[in-house]
Amino acid sequence: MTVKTIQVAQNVLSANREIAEHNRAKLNAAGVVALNLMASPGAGKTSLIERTIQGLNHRLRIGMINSDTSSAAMDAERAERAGALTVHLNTAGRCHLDAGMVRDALDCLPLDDIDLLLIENIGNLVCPALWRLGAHWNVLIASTPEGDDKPYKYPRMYNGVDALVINKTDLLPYVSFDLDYFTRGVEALNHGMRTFPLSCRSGAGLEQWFDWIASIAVRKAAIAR
Amino acid sequence: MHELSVVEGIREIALRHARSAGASRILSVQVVIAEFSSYLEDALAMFWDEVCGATEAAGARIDFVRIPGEYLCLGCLKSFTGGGKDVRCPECASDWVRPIAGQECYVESIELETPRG
Repeated sequence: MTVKTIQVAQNVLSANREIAEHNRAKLNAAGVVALNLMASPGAGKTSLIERTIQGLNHRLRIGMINSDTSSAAMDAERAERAGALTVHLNTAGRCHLDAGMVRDALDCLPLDDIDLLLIENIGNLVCPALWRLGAHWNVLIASTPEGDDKPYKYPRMYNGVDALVINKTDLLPYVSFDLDYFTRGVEALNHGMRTFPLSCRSGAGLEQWFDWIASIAVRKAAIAR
Repeated sequence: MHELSVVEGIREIALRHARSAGASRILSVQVVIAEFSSYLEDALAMFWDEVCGATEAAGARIDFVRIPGEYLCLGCLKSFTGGGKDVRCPECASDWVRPIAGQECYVESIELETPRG
């Protein structure tokens, strides 16, 4: 018996990253653009997804991976009713999706019949930022009642996303949310990030959000062709 | 709870290297955790024994090496380490600072037992 030490220097998330790359390649081959939607619980992920499916399903064929920490599939049912092909993932208590779970969900979806894939992550502002899924865009949905200090408290999440939705803008007159203070925090972490202030309830700002998604999906399909 | 997924990643890395080195057993793994990475050592250690179960890593020790995070002062553009609650640049005392390194967590090395040298 001999004992030896080998140098590895390998990131603990490298296995996840490999699977995420594999997922992205699979999506690319099918010409699907995927959005990883992250938010705290109650920010309005499901409402935004519902509105997005309703607003875009005449322009795009939409697939959806919905996740929950339990087997309660009510959000998946809402997405399905709104018109998306939906797979429901039960993470059995885990606080985030990882690339392996998404790989399994992709196997259940007819990717060739989908233009846009929405992946609803677990409601959590910490862990989902660390596990890449292979989506093309990582999107954070913030909401005004959560408070304006969230970028300061969850820097990793705000730093690691490509686009930001500020939901529930209709509540701005009623909650203490200083948009300037919030925006300064976001800018310090993620300069020039695409931001969509909107309200799922009043519909304000939704058109800009739809147009952006449609534009990235069309560009993606053109590249795949 | 995300520490469970992280130790599974550590175990996979260790097993892959042990197998390609023809090792019969993994004795220990050395894991570097930077200051701003959001992993708790205690939680990682707690899950470690559990996930190693019936593999070549069963009974292996997990050692942690802490490294400090690094900030950039946006006032004078000097970088510095260290922190605490109220982070200020040691040069110019500005609090306009941004973390630039210190989120990493990686397996640095693995100690293996092999049947022959």
